[in-house]
Amino acid sequence: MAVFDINKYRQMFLEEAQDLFETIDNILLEAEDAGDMDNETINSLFRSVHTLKGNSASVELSMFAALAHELEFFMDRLRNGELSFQDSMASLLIDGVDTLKHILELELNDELEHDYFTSTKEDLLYKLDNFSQDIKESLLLDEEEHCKNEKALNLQDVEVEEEPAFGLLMPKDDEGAYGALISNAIKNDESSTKEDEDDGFGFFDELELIEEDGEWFGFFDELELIEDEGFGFFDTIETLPEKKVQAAQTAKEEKEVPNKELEVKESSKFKPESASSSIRVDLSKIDALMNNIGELVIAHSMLMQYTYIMQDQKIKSELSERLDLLDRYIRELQESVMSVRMIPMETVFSKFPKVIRDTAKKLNKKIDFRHYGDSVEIDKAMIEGLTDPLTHIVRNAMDHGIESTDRRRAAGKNETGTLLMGAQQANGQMIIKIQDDGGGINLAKVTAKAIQNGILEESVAAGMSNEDKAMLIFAPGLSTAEAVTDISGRGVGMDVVMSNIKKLGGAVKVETEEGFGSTFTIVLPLTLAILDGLNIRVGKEHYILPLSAIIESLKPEEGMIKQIGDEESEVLMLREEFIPVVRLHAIFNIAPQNHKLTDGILIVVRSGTKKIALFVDEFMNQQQFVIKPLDRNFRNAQGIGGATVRGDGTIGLIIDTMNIMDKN
Amino acid sequence: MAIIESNQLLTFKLGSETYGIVINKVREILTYPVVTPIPDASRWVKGVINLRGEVAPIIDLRVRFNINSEPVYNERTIVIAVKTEDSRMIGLVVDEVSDMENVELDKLYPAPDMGTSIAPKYLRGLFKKEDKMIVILDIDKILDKEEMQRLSRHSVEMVA
Repeated sequence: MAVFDINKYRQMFLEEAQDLFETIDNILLEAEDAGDMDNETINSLFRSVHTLKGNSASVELSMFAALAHELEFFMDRLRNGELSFQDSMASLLIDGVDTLKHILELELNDELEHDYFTSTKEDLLYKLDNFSQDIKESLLLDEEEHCKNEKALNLQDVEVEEEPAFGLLMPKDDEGAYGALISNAIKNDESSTKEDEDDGFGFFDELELIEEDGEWFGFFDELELIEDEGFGFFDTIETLPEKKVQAAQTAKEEKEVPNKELEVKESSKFKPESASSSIRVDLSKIDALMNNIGELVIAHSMLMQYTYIMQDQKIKSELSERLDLLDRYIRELQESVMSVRMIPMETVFSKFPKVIRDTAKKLNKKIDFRHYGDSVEIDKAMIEGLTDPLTHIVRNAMDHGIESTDRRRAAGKNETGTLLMGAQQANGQMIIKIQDDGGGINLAKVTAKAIQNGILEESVAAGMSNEDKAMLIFAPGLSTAEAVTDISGRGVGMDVVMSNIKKLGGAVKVETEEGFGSTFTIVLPLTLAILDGLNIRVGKEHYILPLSAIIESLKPEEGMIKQIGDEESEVLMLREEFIPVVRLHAIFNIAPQNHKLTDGILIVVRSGTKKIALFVDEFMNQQQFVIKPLDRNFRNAQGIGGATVRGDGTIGLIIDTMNIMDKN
Repeated sequence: MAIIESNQLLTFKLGSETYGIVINKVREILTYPVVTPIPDASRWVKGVINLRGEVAPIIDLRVRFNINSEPVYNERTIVIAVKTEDSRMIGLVVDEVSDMENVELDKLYPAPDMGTSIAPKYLRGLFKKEDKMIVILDIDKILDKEEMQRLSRHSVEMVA
């Protein structure tokens, strides 16, 4: 192997490891809750740890692999009935897996010191061994097996040396020989793992071993091929065991195998996972695809624009017809690509049981986590920005929201607090709710603290609604927690939640009732990439207003416009509501065409959870736009959420209704 | 830098003096296009244009460095599109594009620190060509992302 960039594969390993850890955590948490573990669960647990071990070794994370091996070994004994599941085991295994994660982090950063590793490992081994004490007999049995393995290893060592000649003599299509050799490789792998933990084991060693022996055939070539491609590598490895089993079985039939018992164990050990037809794709590739479609959308609107100036009516209408068809196909294409980016909310929710369990333990509270809307889909790009804010809210709800068991009992509530998280889609928006049945937010305390910190004027506070007071918790540096814990209380966090959600183009709202709990509602746009927008004109400038934000538009009559104090603060009286009017040209510093509101048009839009009425001179056609970020060069101008390329090749600015009010 | 830097400069005029930037930063030279202004931007940020499908800001170096506070924009106004180290496309408005020059970049006169309207940190050095002086600009410093974000807002500029 010439140039081999281990980091590339480590990255892939890491991605997969995250998924695996999540699976493992959830299995263990369930087991902890149920106090039991059936065979199938143990098997899938074992498989996950086994995959972790094998893959980590192949990316040269030997210490991690060694530790994973210990866990795997323990689970193996659990699986074949040498040990029986006990309640405390789940918690021990959860700790073990946490240690594993920690070691992985250290080893990846090259910060893992050998002494620390040895002590961690011994510590883990000691704990694991405690369970084994009860079953000394089986331990003895185990040692016997160890001896057998050793013998087997010696035997194989000899065989391995003979292999090249043996292999070359065999015709390539001879299944028997193929199988036999491979089975040797497996045994080698297995026994070496048992013998020498610190040495690397797993697939790469095999690979090297065989490559040294000369030109080979079979799945190793395949491995090489896939390496060149640079991805999908680990998926292949997952299917390898399947081949191995086949190979091993063929070998058994064809050839006398030294250790039959071991062989049987092998084939039962590698339970092939059902082949999945999904692939792992770098998000940037999908983004590139999305970009291409974006260009297509622009090219299409260029053609559309061209038809407007065409003289010949017949050609014009025929062309428009075909362009409409093209438009439909582009939309379909876009939807398919979008659906590739969409993943179910379940992947977000599944991160939480572990966080909640750990935090609940630390706080000594009982918390029941429930979620709904698992199948609601969300843009993958959105998830990355969403995980942090959600974790903050959850931690806060657990620390400050849900009371201690004693206090809950005293308040006549169920000892176990409930945390409900849910997702749904409505009005082209994604709505995520996090609800707890805790003590709610002490509004008086929050307000007092805000005044004390100088965030709020006392006179303003008096006139504030409860809803507005609750929103104070998002102000930076505000915490009413008496003590700073390592979970929350420093007053950083909720403002981060706010800014992160805003970055995604969303809004947060909080409702709270003292004594009964709080509900956080996060509203997000469904996608970040393409939007339907309305062209509007303000003075001589044109802007784009996202269609999803628009509620209605109207030409106001004299009687509908009211003023609060001076002329600057106008409100639109619409049916039962008073909606503040925002003159866009004032905000964007443009000479207006119309001065009187009744001469122009008011567009009522959603701004976070509120409504505002934007005053514009004219609204024009509706169109699809590809959002391009502006903040690569500038801090985002207030009221502007991004830019897009219009059909005529010029740039259009997209109005962000979320932060337009901040300007006032 | 691992790559050997090109010794060729593209020279242009801002006011009456000649300035230069390293040629490998230059992507395109275009006449003044239709520019979409950005609300609340500094005076030297003219707005954004569509440059090969990218949203690229247009910066008037004449205004940026107080060379000409009443610049005219007509069909003779030139925009040099450059690509920064971190792959951002940016258009620079200049008075006219002059020529190409070969210079040895390691043999430049250092820029004097004497309160020039272009701070020395934005300059790579000075170069003498016959009886002319060519001021070589450090385009990555001038267009530094944080610097741009800090300075590009009108309200910030007022305070500063």
